[in-house]
Amino acid sequence: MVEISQNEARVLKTLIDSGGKAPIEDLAKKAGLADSAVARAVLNLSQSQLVKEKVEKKTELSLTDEGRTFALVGLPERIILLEVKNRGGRLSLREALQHSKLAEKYGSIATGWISRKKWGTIEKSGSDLVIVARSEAPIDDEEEILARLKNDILILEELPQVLKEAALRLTKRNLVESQARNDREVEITDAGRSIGTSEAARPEVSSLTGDMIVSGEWEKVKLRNYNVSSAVPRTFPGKYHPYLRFLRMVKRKLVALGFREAVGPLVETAFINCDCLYMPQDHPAREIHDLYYLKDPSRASLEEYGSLVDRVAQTHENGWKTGSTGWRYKFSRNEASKLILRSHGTALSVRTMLSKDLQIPGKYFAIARCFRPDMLDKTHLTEFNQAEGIVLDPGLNLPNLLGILEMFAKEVAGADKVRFKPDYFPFTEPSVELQAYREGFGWMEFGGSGIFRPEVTEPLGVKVPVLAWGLGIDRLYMMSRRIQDIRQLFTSDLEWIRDQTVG
Amino acid sequence: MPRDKEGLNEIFAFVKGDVESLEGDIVSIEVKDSNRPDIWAVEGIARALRGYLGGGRTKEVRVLGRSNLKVVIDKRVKPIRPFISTAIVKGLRPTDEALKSWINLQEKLDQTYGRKRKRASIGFYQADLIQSPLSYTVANPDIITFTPLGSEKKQSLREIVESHPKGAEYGEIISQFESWPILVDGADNVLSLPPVINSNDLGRITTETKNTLVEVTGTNSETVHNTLKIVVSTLAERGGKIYTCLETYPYGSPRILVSPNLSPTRASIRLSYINSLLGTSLTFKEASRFAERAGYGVRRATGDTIQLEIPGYRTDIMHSVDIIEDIAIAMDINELKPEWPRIWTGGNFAKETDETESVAEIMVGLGFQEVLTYALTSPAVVSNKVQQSDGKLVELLNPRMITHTVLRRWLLPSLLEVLSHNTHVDYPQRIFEIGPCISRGENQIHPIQESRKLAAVTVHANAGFTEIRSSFDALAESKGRSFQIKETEHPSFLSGRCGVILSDGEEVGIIGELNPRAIKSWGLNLPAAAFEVEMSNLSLT
Repeated sequence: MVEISQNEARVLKTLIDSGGKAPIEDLAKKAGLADSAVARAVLNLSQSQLVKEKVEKKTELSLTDEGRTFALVGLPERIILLEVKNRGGRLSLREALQHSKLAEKYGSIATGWISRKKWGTIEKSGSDLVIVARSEAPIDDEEEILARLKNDILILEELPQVLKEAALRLTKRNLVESQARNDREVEITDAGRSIGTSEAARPEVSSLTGDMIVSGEWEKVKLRNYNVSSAVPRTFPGKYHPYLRFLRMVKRKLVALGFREAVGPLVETAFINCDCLYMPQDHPAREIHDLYYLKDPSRASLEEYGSLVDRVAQTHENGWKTGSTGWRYKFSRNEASKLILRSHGTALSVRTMLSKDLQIPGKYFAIARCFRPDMLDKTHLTEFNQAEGIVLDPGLNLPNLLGILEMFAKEVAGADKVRFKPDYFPFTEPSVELQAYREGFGWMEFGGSGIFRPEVTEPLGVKVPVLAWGLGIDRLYMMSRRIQDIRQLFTSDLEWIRDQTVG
Repeated sequence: MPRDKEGLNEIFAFVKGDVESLEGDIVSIEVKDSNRPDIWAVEGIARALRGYLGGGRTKEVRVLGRSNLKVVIDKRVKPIRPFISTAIVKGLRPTDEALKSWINLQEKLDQTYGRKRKRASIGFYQADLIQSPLSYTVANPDIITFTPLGSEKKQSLREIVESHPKGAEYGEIISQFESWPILVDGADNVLSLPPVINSNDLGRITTETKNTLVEVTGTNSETVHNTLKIVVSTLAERGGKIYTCLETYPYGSPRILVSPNLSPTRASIRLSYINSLLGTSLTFKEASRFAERAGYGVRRATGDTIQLEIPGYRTDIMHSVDIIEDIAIAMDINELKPEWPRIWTGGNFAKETDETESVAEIMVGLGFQEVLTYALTSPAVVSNKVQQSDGKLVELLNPRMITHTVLRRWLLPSLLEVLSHNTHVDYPQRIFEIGPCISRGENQIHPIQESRKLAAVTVHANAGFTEIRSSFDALAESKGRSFQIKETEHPSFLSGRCGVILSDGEEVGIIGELNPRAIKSWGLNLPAAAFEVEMSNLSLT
């Protein structure tokens, strides 16, 4: 048995349906295949003697420019004859030419053909000729050819003998021209017919199964062809949330720079969040407009912090041993024990310094979810993330702080240049704001930083300078994704999330 | 001075100011230093900039002499508002602009440094209309009357507190007391009802006022005295001459006070400390020059120590680091060369991050989209809509939005809220989140219990238990953990299609097909199945 492909089977079936033979260009159309696919199939089939390809020479006929004119107005002999008939059946050639507005040069052609076609007789009258029309002058073969060529081309070989001769006469008269061409026709052989018939009887299946592959059944069945260029249903891959992906990138950069990640609770005591950071207890940033307090439970025991509470209290009241005057008010342990939602990542830096695992020298960071009692709008979130961290070593100084900020600006924000401005935080002195410049984005505030006050570090038992920094990563993310509304960070718009590109 | 925003920004950096707008001749700046009230008015900013830009010492602000005004304090003010400090500033006919600046300063000091007038509040009066001695005393709120600022008729103190706009704002500071503090002069004219309102007759200064009485009352002695120092120093910048008043107290110590005391405070600071903190190698001379630019007086330098004088209006200096920062600013911190600290440390991720990453990788591989939702939510979201009501939630004392009043104790409701916003989006929808959850702790020592959880939901026409269970099993197997699923009843899930997730017999999560009532309450119209599990149980410890 000859093995044939899907396309070959389809060509055979099309040939059978078309009565055994068809021009190759018709095959492509009828079989619904590309021209190239049909040409390949026909080549294979003819090598297997399932089809025969015949090339026939054909003569294609068409009108010349002159022929097109006469096809529209009639042949010169017909024009003159009609003129004669209209004027009594007998008329001089000069008069006939004059009335018909036919050019002089067609006079002899017209009289020649009138006489040859026996449409009338020509008599001599002095220097002029007189035409006498016969009553009968039917449409002749030449006129039929012209009429048919007006709308189509004709193949000489396909015409009946009389028309063939008429066409040749017209060719001689330069009214019709001919062009040779090769027509490829495909004809099915008997062998082809029998294979094509059995192929057509084979069942068509749409999906290929494992069983079919194992058993070889796939070769016997006919697999339905798919339209590979048409659309298919959309798939939505699982992906990271775009903002969380960005935070992961920031984490990787910081780890690469030698920072250890710290984590800590969202619910804090005012003690850790504020008091340990030397924020006086009546500081405006501790009011209910700036800090979320818990209703129930509202307080936590500070027992686990032991004597640290005393040291912090004394530092607030009179500076303790830090060399500071302190804030000079009566510290309230009750206020310190209030439960709040972490309002800044710096609370985590306090926890890091309190940790028994603290290493000096050390570099630490955290991406901390923080809370502030703001109404949600274009520029405010009530929950947001801060990237914060500390660097501890006996030899650290202000240029080191600037060095860290410069590194962050370049590594994390891709900044071209940086500059620094004095800043203020209750827990750092000196305090520095980082401004980063990026081509196409301009200057932006990218971070706040400083050296922790001795009033912060010494009660915690840390005796070395501690550089503290925070980065404006939310703004950086918004800038990089061209986001105008900060609420987009926590968006629940699944369509937008799905549409975000990865990378 | 430069005329462009960039140039002005560089100048105002010396006073931690950000230029917010520049329109014609008007520059608006935000001063970030919330601890330096001496630069909260244009006069103070000008004084500070003069030092930084002029390169020399700033002019000392000092007292010119004693006024004749005496203030006698009644012991009955002690439990209400025990402290008062007064001064007279002479020789000023303020311009409209100056008046505006002082009113602004008064407002800022009252609001922040004076803690909304509780700790300290300021009053300005026409000194020439006032007769010594002043009496700071108390009065029956229903008997004593005067005409409050901005009004034309006399009212009792109580009427003023009840009807005047300032009464509504600050009345509560004194309204709890039986008698209220008042300030009366030698001719029995009422100057004011501190801290609420001044008299319209005496307590209104205009461009015609040559001599101004400044008075501060409050509950904190230091704040009261500092506030007065800052106000009179500001007025002195316009050419005012400061004269002291004598205050006599029946309590505390000392009992007789001359205020304001603008004499500088002495401080000594080690040069080696300055240089080690700033990474510099300044000489005594250089350090002294920068300190003077920052407004400090330099007395002498001996050994490693510089003796400095802190101007009276600098109420913010608590530690040497405050002075060192001022020296750094005077040097211009952009002149310091940034230097990456040369210490070697190995970076690493927190254990929790490693756990999150491995679980997120598997969930993403299973075709779930990661989402991010708020930890703050509402009881409607976290309980009602999911048909669950047991257990008290951790609640905020001061919520700002009714949609953010409690902390979530589980994630699934947040995920359903996300899905409810996306009913027009192509299904299937499969989402997950790894996030913090908060519930009440078992005791006083640990009143709060925080944990990280993972929740995942699948919603589509054919979503069901088998799909979600096989996703969960794939996760558990990939993490090398084994769990048991035992049938359970849960109001958010369909009875008979819900199981509790057990790890060594301990309940660590829930899995099942969602109850159609819960689905409907979120406006969803398709079957949904979900699981939620404690993150700590997904990793081998």
